[in-house]
Amino acid sequence: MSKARLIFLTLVGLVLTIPASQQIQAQQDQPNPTEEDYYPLLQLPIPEGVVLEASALEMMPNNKLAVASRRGDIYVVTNPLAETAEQMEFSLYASGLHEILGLSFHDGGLFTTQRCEVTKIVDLDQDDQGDLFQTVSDGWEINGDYHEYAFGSKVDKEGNTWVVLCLTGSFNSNVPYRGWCLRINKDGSVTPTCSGIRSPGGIGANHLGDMFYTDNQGPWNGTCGLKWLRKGAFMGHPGGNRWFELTDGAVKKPAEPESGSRIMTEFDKDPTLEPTAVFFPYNKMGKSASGILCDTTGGKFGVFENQLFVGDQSASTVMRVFMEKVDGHYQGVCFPFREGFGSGSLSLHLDPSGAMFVGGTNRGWGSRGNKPFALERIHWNGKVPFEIHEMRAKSDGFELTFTHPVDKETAADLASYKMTTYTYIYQSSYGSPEVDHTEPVIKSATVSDDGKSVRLVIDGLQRGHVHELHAAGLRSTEALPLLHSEAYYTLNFIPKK
Amino acid sequence: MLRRICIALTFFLPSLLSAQHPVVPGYERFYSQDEDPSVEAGLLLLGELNCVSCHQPGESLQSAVSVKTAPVLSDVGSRIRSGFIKSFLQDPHGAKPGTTMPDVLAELDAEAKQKVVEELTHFLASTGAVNDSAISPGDVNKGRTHFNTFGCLACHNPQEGDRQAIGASVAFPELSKKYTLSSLSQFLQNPHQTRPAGRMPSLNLNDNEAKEIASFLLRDLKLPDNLKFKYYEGNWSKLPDFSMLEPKLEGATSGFGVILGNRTDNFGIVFSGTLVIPKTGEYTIHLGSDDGSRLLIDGKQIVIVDGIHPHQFKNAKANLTAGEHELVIEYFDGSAHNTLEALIEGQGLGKQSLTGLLYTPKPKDPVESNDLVAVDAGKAAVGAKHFTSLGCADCHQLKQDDQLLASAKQYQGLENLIGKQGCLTKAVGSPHYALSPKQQADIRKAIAYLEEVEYQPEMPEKIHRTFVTMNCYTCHQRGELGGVVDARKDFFITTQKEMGDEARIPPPLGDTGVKLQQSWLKDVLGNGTKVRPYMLTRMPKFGNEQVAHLPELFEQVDELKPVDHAQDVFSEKKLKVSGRRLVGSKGYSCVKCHVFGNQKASGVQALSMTTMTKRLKYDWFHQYVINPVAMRPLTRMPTAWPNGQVLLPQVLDGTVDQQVYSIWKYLEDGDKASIPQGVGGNQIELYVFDEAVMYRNFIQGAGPRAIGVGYPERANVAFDANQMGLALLWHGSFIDAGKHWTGRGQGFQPPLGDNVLTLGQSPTLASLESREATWPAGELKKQGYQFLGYQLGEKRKPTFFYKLNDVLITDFPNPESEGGEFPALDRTINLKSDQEQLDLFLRPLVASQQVELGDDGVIAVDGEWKFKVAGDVGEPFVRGKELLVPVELRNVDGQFVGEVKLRYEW
Repeated sequence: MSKARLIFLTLVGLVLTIPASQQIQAQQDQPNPTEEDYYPLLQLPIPEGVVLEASALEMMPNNKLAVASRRGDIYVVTNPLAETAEQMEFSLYASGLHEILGLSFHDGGLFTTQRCEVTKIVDLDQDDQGDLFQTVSDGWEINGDYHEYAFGSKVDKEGNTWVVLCLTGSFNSNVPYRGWCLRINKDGSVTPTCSGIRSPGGIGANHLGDMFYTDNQGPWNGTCGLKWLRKGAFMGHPGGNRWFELTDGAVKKPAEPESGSRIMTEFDKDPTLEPTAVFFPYNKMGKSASGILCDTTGGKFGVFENQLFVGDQSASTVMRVFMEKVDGHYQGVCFPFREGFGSGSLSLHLDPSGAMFVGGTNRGWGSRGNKPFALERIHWNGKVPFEIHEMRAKSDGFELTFTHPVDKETAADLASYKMTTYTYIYQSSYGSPEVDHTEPVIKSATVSDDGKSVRLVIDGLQRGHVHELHAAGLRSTEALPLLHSEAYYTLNFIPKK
Repeated sequence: MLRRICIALTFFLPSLLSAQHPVVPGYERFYSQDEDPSVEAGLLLLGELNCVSCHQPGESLQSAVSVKTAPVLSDVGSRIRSGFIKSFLQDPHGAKPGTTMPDVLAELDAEAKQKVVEELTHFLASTGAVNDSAISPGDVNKGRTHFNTFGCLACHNPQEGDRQAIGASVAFPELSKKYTLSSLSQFLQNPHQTRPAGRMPSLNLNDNEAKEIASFLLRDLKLPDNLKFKYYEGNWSKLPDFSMLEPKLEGATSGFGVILGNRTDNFGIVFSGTLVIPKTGEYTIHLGSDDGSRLLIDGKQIVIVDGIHPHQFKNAKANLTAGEHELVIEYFDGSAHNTLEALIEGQGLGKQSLTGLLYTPKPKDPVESNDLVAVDAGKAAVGAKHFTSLGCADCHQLKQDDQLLASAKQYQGLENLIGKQGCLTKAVGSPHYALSPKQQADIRKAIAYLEEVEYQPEMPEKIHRTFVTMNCYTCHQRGELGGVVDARKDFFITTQKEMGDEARIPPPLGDTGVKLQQSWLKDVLGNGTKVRPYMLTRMPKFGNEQVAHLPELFEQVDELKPVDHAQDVFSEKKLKVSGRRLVGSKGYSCVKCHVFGNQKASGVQALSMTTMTKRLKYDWFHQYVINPVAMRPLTRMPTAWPNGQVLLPQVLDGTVDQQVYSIWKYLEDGDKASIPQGVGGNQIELYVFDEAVMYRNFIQGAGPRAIGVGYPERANVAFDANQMGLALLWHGSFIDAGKHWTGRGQGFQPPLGDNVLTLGQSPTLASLESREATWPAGELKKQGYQFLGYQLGEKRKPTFFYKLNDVLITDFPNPESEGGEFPALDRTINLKSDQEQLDLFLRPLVASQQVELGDDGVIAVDGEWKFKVAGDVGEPFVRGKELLVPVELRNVDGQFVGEVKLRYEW
């Protein structure tokens, strides 16, 4: 029997003998753990005088971290995995590029998505400076509007780069393929893949290789969300629909959505529309969803294997997302994960060793982290926080799993949970308040024998609604509250029995 | 004569303010207080009172009297309320104190006068109908600010507060009795249309400004009620069911003003009225409110904007038949602001307030109304006869059925009036002007004088007369005369107090003829201007008829000693580069205080440097910048050359004349001049040292997909990767990244350096079917062009790669080393193809004026710069402004290759 278990048993013994009011008192004496206790944060030493609005990140084969900036520079960081910042060094790899929002090393070159093209940068003489800048594809247009951003993915299994293209402003698409996702194939050819994009903040694949992007609150986007780039699907904003004629019918043109409706209502009319897999409720989870990565480190980053991590620029955070497939569509839940980044979190990169790099900028859009730019690293220190691990939809409720066994008494107590639901208006004007609120009734909470999961049976699940769960009363067997007790599940589809 | 009138009066006796005599502002200011009558004053009155419309002057006198034509009365019935017409005809001075309109009917007894007035009024009212619309309180507030700042108060009295009337002001009648909102707006926007004499100038108001000032001037207008209302009190977050509530107050109102009860928060109102739809069809109804509201027509809900929110609009379409409909609008307010607007558009109606379509009952009792209830055709016909027989038509133009009504009256010529009483007093048969004794004396003196002497005014007197008649003096001083009187000084307002009076008081005009270019002056007088953005008073538009003679007179009268300076010491290129440096933050820092086009200065925002050479004459500019205080004693403008000292001796050999001249030459490029250093804020200059620096971004003149390259040799290029060609070349500094690297980075950035050569945004290479074929343009990707990237070589200089169908091109720009301040650019283009290419052409430049092929192979462009081409090419040829060079590829082991060397010396 380990020492921890002994202490645990002793604690249980104590708990059983002291009155409830004193239990709470005892917990308050010991401050609750914080995110820093599990995932400590380190600032990378950006040299003085360098403005590094870190907008894309990639690990190079020589184990140097490539960091692109909105100013069009690419720096490489030597020893990015070193224990302390003093051991790291920055040097300039390339400069003069146009607002880089994607880096991926592949086939001997650094595939760089800049505003106007995907460029393969090759360091011909191996001096850590790019020499050859080959245009892989410029299969879209720009016309001089700052809003026309291009976010590029890491190269996928087939060697393709996926690019999501911001509209010209919030509403219009003035030049070809603004508001689209294009696949830049290995040979440079272009495959228009999805329409309906508004204003992406990041793009990334899950462990199966399915590609996702974040879109931001605005027209046809009631709040920020994570969307699955299902090939041929319509992502919701009709602003770029004029370019279907360029695709020669390869992509199906969706029905014109009805403003003021709800996403699932419009999905039922035309399933070309891909419902937002995960809504990030406005203000509650942030205001500006950004970079995406998937934990495929095999446990090096903790216990969230195959889950996604998504930045929020405005809140200077990284959120955690668990998704499942129901009726052939991804849907799932988001949780807070880590806050306190120095600037507006934009780019994320996870090294197989378990180090997560987060690049930030708040130029043009404010952020809670008040530095103009930042480059930071968090790593897992081996301690597992008490968190809701997964939240799965059931035909009659949800199943929660936890990273630690729960205290069965609080976990079975219905008063430990509170659930509300709401959704967003799907409309052509900017954003949406939360609407159609309901308060479903949690009828039972059944704890599994191993204490690692709780089955909630709920009366009044709402299709197409965010189900906002607060489990503040829940305790672990070590009497700890959840590190993050709130969860937001986007229930587009209710699983059948 | 001029000396006698030189006493500029700034004080007026209070008795004058209420005087029942015609007020001519210039007369009041310059002559009314003189003890002795004067010819000039009399001549002024003969014109301003329009005596000469009846009493024609003989040929020799025509230049002596300037004519102020009376208001045009065509369609007057659609502009002026008939009630006002009537009271004005009855008693001109009573209805409009100080009017120059005489009482033509003064000699009639009361009963007879009333009859004639009635008939004339019916006639004038028959020319149209006024169309009332409600005044919005928001517009009144905006209009108040405009009225008090745009310069209306230069001639008119303040309309509010306890301010005393100011002498020489043009008084208003009670405007709400005279005008409707739309007729006053139209008048303010285009006063010359009905008052061609131009004494009331146009302030170049836009639609909104005109409407807002009119709203302010008509703020007392109370229109007949067109809505019923019920007022409720309660605390709601959504519209309640008003039918279940008891109103606190009920009544009638005009328009959708919501402050009808005691409360400004937590209340509700239900308006009801009758909507008169002109034409059957579909209309869009817009409803906007803070907080909630809904609109019903014939009991059916059309639009709803419910809930607590800031002012928010929704709209819906409704099919409405022509005729009357029952309108109900429900409204509630929680807290804070309260607004309600209902608009309609469709079937030919522009978006407008619904109030215009509300049925408005006509007052039953005409006594209560301003307006006649209905025009009596019989009375109108008699009135029309009066109009011509009584002499109205002598002064006033009135077109009926496109025919100008002509007067049936005969008068004596001006010369025959000596010693007569006539209009000067209340003589029988004469209109009564209510002239003051001084005015009478002045007119007598003028008429007597004209009898004796042929009137031949000097040029300064002509200028003076125009300044007096057009009241230029109320704003401007010229020499010792005129200028803003103390009582009006507070009305001249600036957005930049720290600039002092210079920023708020219009400029003195004593040296106008030597200061301003004629073309500029004509433009200012004809169209008005707003060249000083900080000065809220506008220079109005006087139109050309009244003032077109001024520019030439100024030029002949005003004097300044000419400047003698050598013009060809330095090349124009050198002068412009130096001038730009001198005005910038590393020179004399003119940019600290002067705006540069739309780029703000860092300190005060004095008037823009980019318009200076368009406005000013060089001699004046030269002497002014060297010693500003000598020419504008109160100016805050410092000199860059104190006591003739040169603070930057390294520029242009340290010669003052050449430095001033260089600034002028640089500014001659106007809006096209490259922005000087230190302008625009947040500058982030990209410096070039030993290696080339690149900048891919939105570059003005090179497109959104530009690639800027700054070379260590101090030459720079911008390659357009959309159009596949070099778009810009320039010398000196590379680029300012501040625009793109601060904020969100919107906009196009021009080069930072000097001597920018624009080659145009077009491909350098093309395949043409014939030598005459059009050069490719537009979407080049579809025409076989593809950008392929670049490779960095020695000093990290890029070689660009692109292709045109089968032809691969490398393009290597490289400035000449040791090229001094203005190095040439060498450009090596290599071409390679697997196919034979017989129709390839280079177009290395497009001139803005002309291309000349020299015998020595040197090509001169625009007479300003030179170009050379060599390598695998045929004979260059010119077509229009284009230079084309045929490319002749060589067959090397089955590959077709070529190399072309281009050189730009600019």
